[in-house]
Amino acid sequence: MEDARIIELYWQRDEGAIRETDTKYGAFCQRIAMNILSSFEDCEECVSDTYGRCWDTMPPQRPLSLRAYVGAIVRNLSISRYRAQRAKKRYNGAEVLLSELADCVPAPDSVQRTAEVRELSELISRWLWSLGEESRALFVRRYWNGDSVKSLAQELGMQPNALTKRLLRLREGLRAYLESEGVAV
Amino acid sequence: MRPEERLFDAITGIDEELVESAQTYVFHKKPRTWQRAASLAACLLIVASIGFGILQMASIGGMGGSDSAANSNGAAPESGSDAGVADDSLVGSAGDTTTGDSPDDGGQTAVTSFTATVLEAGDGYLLVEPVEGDAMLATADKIMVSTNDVAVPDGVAEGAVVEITFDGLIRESYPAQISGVTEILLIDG
Repeated sequence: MEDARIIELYWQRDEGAIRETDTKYGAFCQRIAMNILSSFEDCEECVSDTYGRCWDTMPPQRPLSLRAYVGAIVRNLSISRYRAQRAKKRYNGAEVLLSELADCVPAPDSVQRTAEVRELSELISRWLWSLGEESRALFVRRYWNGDSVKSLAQELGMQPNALTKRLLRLREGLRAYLESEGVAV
Repeated sequence: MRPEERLFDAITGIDEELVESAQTYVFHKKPRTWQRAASLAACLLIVASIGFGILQMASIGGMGGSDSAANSNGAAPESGSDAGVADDSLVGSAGDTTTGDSPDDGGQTAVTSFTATVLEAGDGYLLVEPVEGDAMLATADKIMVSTNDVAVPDGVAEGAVVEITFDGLIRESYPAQISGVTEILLIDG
């Protein structure tokens, strides 16, 4: 089913939208979640939560690319879950307290942080557009999708070591670009 | 939050178009060294096979090798590497098919006859031109006919019209060459 039709189902509050999203992008979402979490159980929960988030946000959202939209949601949820798991395992007491106290922090701080991340996103996008098509796809597949170096190397027909060096040069390129833009990360 | 975590978050928010195009992008595999070497070897093998095939055809063509007839300037064009023989491949016959398959050609060609005017009669060869209306004219306008293995009737000279029967194999050189000539009849002396 076309993305536009699936989005229309969300807008019509038709639960078939979730089924269609799962059919079309379920495997895509699972791969992203697995790349971040490396846990099938957590991955399943994240993907399930992703559909819930889609249901809650459409409407009012009407994304141009449903794949990018659900991908961003599952990625965000997976990163959040990863952070939560890490907090539990490594910094149990303090992290839980801090996370609870974070709810009390005034809004400006979070607005400022969001703005910074958004600005970074725009800069990264601009930098990516300046790259060749293959380098652009490579960076996105590695750092947005979280695809492994091994699988990408196989797709490219090159040795993983050679790809690692290529990715390093890409990261150095991004750092140089951000520095030239006066952004400290 | 650690700087890399901020970057990780920021990457999530890159343009949707970037994400979409990366999902559909097909990486072009770069051939590895051994693959390049294998490709080169395969190419060389093909070239060698073609060369060998051409030499083989030249050697079994009938007018090659032992032929020593003169050409129109005094030496007949021999098959294979002789100067004056270009594009030495074989084409099918175009004349009147008279009998069954030739024993030498594996059934691919048939014994053929055509009528031609003799342009030149030399030692061991005739240079002929198919007459108007003969199907052979569509194949070649000048044909070198080896007469080493066939009797040439008396009176065959420049201007004579002959009927030539051969095994159907035509060597696509210029002039074209035919082999396996079994009979030459004088039609008009």
